[in-house]
Amino acid sequence: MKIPGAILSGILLAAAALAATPGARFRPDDPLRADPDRLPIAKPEEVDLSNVYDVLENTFRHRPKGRVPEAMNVNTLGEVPDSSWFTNRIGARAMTVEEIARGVTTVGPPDVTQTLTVIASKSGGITPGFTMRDARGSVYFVKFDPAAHPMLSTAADVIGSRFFHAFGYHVPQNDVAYIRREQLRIDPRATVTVGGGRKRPMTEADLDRNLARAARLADGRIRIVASLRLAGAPLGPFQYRGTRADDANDVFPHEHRRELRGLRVFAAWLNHDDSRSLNTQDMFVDGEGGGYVRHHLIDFSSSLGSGSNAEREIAPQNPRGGNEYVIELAPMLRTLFSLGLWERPWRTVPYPAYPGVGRIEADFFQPHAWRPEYPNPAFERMQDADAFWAAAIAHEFSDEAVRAAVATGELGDAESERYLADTLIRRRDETVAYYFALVNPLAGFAVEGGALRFRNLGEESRLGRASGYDIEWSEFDNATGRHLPLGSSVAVAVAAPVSVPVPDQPAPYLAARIRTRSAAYPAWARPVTVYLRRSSGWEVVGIDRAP
Amino acid sequence: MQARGLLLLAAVAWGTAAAADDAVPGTRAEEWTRLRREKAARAAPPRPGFLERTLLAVEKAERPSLLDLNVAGVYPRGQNIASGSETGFGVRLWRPDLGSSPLDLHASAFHSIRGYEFYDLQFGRLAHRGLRFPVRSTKGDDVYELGDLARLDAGHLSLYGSVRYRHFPQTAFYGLGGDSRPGDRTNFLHQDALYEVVAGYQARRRGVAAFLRAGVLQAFVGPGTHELTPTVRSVFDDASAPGLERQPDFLHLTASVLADGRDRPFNPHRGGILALAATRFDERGGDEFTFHRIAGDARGYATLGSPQRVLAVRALASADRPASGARVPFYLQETLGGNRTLRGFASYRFRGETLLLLQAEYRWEAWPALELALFADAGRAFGRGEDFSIRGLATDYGIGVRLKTHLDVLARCDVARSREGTRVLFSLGPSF
Repeated sequence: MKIPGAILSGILLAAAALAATPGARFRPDDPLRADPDRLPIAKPEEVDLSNVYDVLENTFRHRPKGRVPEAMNVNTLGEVPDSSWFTNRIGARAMTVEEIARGVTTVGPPDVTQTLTVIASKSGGITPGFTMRDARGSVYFVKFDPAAHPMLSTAADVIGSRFFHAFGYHVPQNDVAYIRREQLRIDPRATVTVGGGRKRPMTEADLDRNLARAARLADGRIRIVASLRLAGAPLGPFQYRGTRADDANDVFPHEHRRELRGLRVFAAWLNHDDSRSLNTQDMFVDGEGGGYVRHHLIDFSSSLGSGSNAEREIAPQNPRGGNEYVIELAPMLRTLFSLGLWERPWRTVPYPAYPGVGRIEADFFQPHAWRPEYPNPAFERMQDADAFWAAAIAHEFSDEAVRAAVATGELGDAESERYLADTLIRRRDETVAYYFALVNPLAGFAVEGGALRFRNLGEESRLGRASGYDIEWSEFDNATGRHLPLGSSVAVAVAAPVSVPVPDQPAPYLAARIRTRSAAYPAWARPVTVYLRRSSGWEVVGIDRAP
Repeated sequence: MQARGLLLLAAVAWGTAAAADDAVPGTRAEEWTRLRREKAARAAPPRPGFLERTLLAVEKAERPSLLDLNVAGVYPRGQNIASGSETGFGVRLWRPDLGSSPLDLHASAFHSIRGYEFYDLQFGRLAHRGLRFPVRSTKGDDVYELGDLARLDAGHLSLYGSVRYRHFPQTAFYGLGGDSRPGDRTNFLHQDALYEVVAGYQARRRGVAAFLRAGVLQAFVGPGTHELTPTVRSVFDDASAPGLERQPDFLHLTASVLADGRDRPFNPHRGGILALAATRFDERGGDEFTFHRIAGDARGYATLGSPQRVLAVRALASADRPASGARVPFYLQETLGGNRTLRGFASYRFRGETLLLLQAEYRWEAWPALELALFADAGRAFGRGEDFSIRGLATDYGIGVRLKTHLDVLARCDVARSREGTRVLFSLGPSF
């Protein structure tokens, strides 16, 4: 008798559901692919954040103490389900180079062939700019480079948005565009804020003053980065700790969200040292049955080699950026007590002179030692599993993808583009090499043709070769969490991808405990346990990387 | 075979379920949704604390910072008026670009808890940058302060009239020359009014400026009010303190030039500054106290292999040359001592017609906002008849801590030791 596959699956899922007790390791819908965190809620209040308070609080108050728990918002595969925070992209499916380079695609860049209406001055941040509406009615936040550093921050903002979009974060659509002063007219309702928080109507002189700081092309055009206004109503930034009290969907403390912990890996790779709350944005957006909060990363203008100088103006990245917190006691004391003879090592790092690129390099860069401007509660709680999750995503970026993303910055100079892309490729390699060496870097588990297949990301990234794998199969009792060994360990010869026959057992769950043999990387011997659940065939339902 | 296995599996599952708790087994999505339903019942708007609210209000300029609080351009301020004055409180009036013209109005009035008073008013085109307060010299004719003037945009012309009144009731006086003794400390009331016209030009060549000041100085010396030290007349007379008996009015004319090549004028790491000034004091209606003064102040800064290590050196010299048969009033003679010159000695500790000061500091930044310094000062005020020599200089040494921004030294604490003891000095602004 043959049972149709769909009916069979239904029966088995129902059976699994019924079999699942409240304490069961795996639930019927595991692994959860989408977090149900878009339930309709009342619109939360818009909040603002004090820059100084954020620095002080995160520097002195929210440092990790004691044991840090595992990330809380992961599914049983250790992945981050799609949510209001994150949409799996390059880590979950193949993205074409064109798709990566395209980034967010909504209405596209502004229509700069017609009149552009300035509707507000820019508030916050150090880059000059304003808000404008194009002839189609789309609203963009506009920033430009200072005259002394053409292309620097606008390129970083656009390139950064392409990378972070491909990683899976929600980001605005950022594009380079070129405008002329004559195209701009001021909306009669546009205002500027003057001393004491007072607002007054914006004048042509205000706009001229704003644009006077902008870098111009030889033909007089001004290069801008146009950031399309995010959909929904702004609610202010999110913080990298705690939850938002008036967002019922926000139940996992942000410092324990894998995509925020793992963001450290991406931020280090791209030298996004300004990855702090002020560069995030919550929006209240329409969903099924009502609105919910979607969380975005915004403003990548202080990433890559772009940063700011002592006068808080856009400039090549401060050499301290990525190397030392703005307030960090240990180097301060070392310098103090050595009478200044101890030199911070990052002070002597040489940077090649590419004005549009700024200061970024790959020789001194160490992924684990990289630091944002000040402690980030989520970054500081990053565990090996969080880092591996992020590094596995970074690993999916091909050299071509990196070069295509860099090209979107329109640096206008092949040599600069080549340097930046080469540097990012090297930083990527250093990043994945570091984190893949800390754990057993097996991923991509799937059962095909009755065999368990997996990838060794360490090998794929040319970190080293595994000399073999030791696999112990067991029946897994989902209710009690007990393992019943099935024979002795199976040694598997090296092959890529590795394919191991699944034992022919009638059990509902099987587990394969896999150790990778490598003389060069002892951490690869740390077991990865893969759980299989029987449905129409075997499906991978869980991955345990706990030591 | 496949069907049999699956039915077996289903049976096992049913059996397990039957044996399980009565609780309804849930899915992961249901579990996470339940967390959200529970939170929805207690959702409340975030309420930042007082500190966060206050900092936010300041940052967003919903409320001006304390330094920007003003009524019609009148700003309350607290600051020292002079060495020994202790904290003074007062107001500064600042109305730049009056009626969109290039004319500015500045005035200030301060009174300290020791009874020191300072009033001044300037009108015209003042040396200032943007809307910031003008950095005006409170001593006017003092070469020390030239380096403290704000660096202006090239081509800037300043031309203004200025009136100043000072009432310093406890100014210390130890006698003239380098051999004065600390035990001879007296105090006197130093009161003066200065009416002058000032013209200045910031050359197109970066950092080069020239100033011309001309005016009338009226001075008065009276008994000091310090209770613990005697008043000047009880120890000194007109011979040992010229001008004690009579304080004439002076016409004064000062020409000064400044070449400023410091990388950051108020937090220098590299470069240097050279200031030269020539002043003539002409006694009105007589020539007993007519004299002229030549003064120079040179400061150099060099990094020692790293921007975090800076060697700063300074040489300052001033020489008063009285007209034939004239004397230099003691209250107009230059002084050494205090937080910007000989730090191991009290303010006004040395006075003389000729003055030499040499200073060196090794500064190291533990952090951009925190700097330490080892320093040594040497100097002497030479009285009339004393031979100028670099021997016999009074010396001190010490260590200092400075709080800075990238552009400025906000505050510093120097501990200095000399033959006259150890002094702890708290002050605002750089040492030099």
